[in-house]
Amino acid sequence: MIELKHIMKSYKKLLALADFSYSFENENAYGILGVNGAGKSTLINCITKNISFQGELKFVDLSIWEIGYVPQELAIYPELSVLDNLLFFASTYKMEKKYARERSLELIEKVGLKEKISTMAKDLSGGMKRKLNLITALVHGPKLLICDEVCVGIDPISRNEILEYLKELKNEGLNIIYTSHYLDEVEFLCNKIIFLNKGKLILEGDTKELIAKMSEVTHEKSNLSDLFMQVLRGGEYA
Amino acid sequence: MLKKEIKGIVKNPIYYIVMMLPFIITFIMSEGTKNYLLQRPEFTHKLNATREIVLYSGQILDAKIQFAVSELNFMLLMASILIGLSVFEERRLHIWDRIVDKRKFVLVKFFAHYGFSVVMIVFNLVLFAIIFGMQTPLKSILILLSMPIVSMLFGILIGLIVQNRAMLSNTILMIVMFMGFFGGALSLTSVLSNTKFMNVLMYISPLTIANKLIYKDLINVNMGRELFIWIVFILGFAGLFTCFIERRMKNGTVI
Amino acid sequence: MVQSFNFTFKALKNTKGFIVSMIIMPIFMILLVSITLAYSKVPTVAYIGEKAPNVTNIKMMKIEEKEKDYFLGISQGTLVIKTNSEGEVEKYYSSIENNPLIPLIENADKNTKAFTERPNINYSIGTMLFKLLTAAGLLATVLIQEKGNGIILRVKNSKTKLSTYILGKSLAIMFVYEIATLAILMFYKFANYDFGKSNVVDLGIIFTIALLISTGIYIFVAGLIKNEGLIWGISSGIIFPLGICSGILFPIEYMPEWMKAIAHISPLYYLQISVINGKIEVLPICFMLMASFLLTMVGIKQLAKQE
Repeated sequence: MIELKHIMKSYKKLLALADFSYSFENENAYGILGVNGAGKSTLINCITKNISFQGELKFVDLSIWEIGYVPQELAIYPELSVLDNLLFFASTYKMEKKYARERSLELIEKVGLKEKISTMAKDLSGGMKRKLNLITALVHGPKLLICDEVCVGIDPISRNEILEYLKELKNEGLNIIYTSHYLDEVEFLCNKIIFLNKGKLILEGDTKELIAKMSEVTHEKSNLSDLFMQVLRGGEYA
Repeated sequence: MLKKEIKGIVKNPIYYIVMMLPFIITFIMSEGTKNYLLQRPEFTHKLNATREIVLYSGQILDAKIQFAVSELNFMLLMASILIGLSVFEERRLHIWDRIVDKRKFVLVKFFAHYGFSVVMIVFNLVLFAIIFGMQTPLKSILILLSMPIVSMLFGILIGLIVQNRAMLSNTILMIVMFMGFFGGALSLTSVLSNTKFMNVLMYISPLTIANKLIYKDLINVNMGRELFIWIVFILGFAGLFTCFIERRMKNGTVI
Repeated sequence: MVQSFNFTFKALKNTKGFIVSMIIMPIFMILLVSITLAYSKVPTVAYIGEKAPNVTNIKMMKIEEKEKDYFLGISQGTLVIKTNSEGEVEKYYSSIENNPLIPLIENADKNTKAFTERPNINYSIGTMLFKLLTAAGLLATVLIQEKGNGIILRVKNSKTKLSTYILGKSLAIMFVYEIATLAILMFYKFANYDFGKSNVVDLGIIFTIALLISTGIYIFVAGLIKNEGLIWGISSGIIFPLGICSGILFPIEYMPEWMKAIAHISPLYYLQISVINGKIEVLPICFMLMASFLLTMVGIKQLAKQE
């Protein structure tokens, strides 16, 4: 789906991505993990062509407008209603008006914003804004959804709803690239994980397999959080 | 406490900028309008009047001197933003909440900033005297010194009322700009008084009377009842603002 | 582009206080400044008495006897006249020798009607043009916000060209300002302002040119900076000082030569001269429009890069 070869990106003297190569395959949900400054956002910015970089980025059976991007910030119009926000983003993909409306209503219903359909985005609660931020990236029916900290700063119930919805989408065949500092979210949603540190890929693989191997080595029941700490400390397993 | 306030003023470059502004604005504004104030009619005839012509022998105030007075008064009013910000910042940082004797705290702020206003007046009058040759009589200096009493109290009051920085600068800036606009900081009092509607509206601003009193003093004309109005204004508003400040302090000022 | 225009317009309309801050306030301010800045070529003469003499091209202002010296002291070269109940001059008080205003009054036709001056738009046009030249500051603020929250990226990666999207947004903001200026022009028309050598159509064209130049400048600025707080700094730190030297606070004709020299690098100067002369300064304005177009292109490229 996406092939990255020898990607290099630096900001002044800081090397954000150092010779990064990786292939994102179809029908997967990828979790990108790392501490602050590890290069997660830079990697996403490279994939979305938000920044210039050295190296090769290739989309296989995918075009840039088949990507839905959910940035950490709320990329919605606060002064437009829920429906208008969706209709606007649908219009940027030249969707037919009638279909755009139907699709928008379907998404609104799916995430439980039906009663807020005419409410201006700025008047929604934090969780609702996050939901709207998510569905505006889905309105055009993307093949790949890139989520950058989508659940940051919201209550557990809204967070759960968003994650359940993303899981449902994944099961329906949507490809996802997901970054978060909440490791339980990544463990719940992603079947593949990528660890980044100082711009370098230090570990990647199947989420369940990696955790199982970790349990074997430590002789304890482990989770993604344990694995993350081990990797960062450069422990035995890593 | 006073030492800390003075240090705060001395170390803040904004105060130096505000101090320099009257002179800079006076220069630009007077340069731009000096040809206008000359009132040159476009065509002339040979002078052959049959009536008596009395030549005025007093001083004529050119654009520079008129703007000098006007801009200095305007900036003294503008300095209320500085004290307002100073009060607000300490509230925002919750330093204000720790102060036990809030009245003393406000008084120190007032006197420190009043001291700054006095320095600003002296600095600009010296510059005006050297560069524009403007001599300022004692009465005019007293009027200039009375202006910051009201503006500082106004600044403190707004600093105690507002809940965010944008609100503070917008509120004071809008009020002060309107006062300046009607008070001759952008178009001279002498121009406004010749313009329809504005010759009445200009009295909304206290700067109009303050400027007029100083102009009169500079050309040795009796200040008349305007001096009385000015004194009543200063005492009235100073009293009113002090009452509001007291009330505000009593009702709590926590952000 | 149509969608971008519609949704931007809708968003602007829904913004709390937008109508007040973007339309009513500028109109209010411009009207006030216009009235104030009606810097007139017509000299003002004060009179003491019941009736003023009728003199063409001289404004008469009634004052009290005690205000005489104050009036003479603050208005250079002016005159105070003492009149009788018929409005005939009894005595002149002049602040200068050989005052040229005296023969004007002496030779005036006594049967003419009382002189009332029409306020001239030429004296305050600079203020309005300044407002229009800084109008796209709003567009820059919106674009910087959208650059920060990812909307620009979403649009860039959609099927809509970023330039089309920005053009739609610019048109929506220009449209709002065109409505505001139209209201001001209507006011001028009905308040019987003197349009000088220009007419309403000329003014409409010049205002649109000002908005186009503004759009170019501010799209470029939006591409360069990340903090929308700096927009205010650019408007007041660069455009305003340039504006002072090109007639936003006082008419160009009264400015000294050094200010006029600085004015030549300001778009405001050429726009104002076009209004005053009733003839568009084709060469400099074409140059400015081309520069504005280039700035727009560079700005859009920068916005697309987002680094």
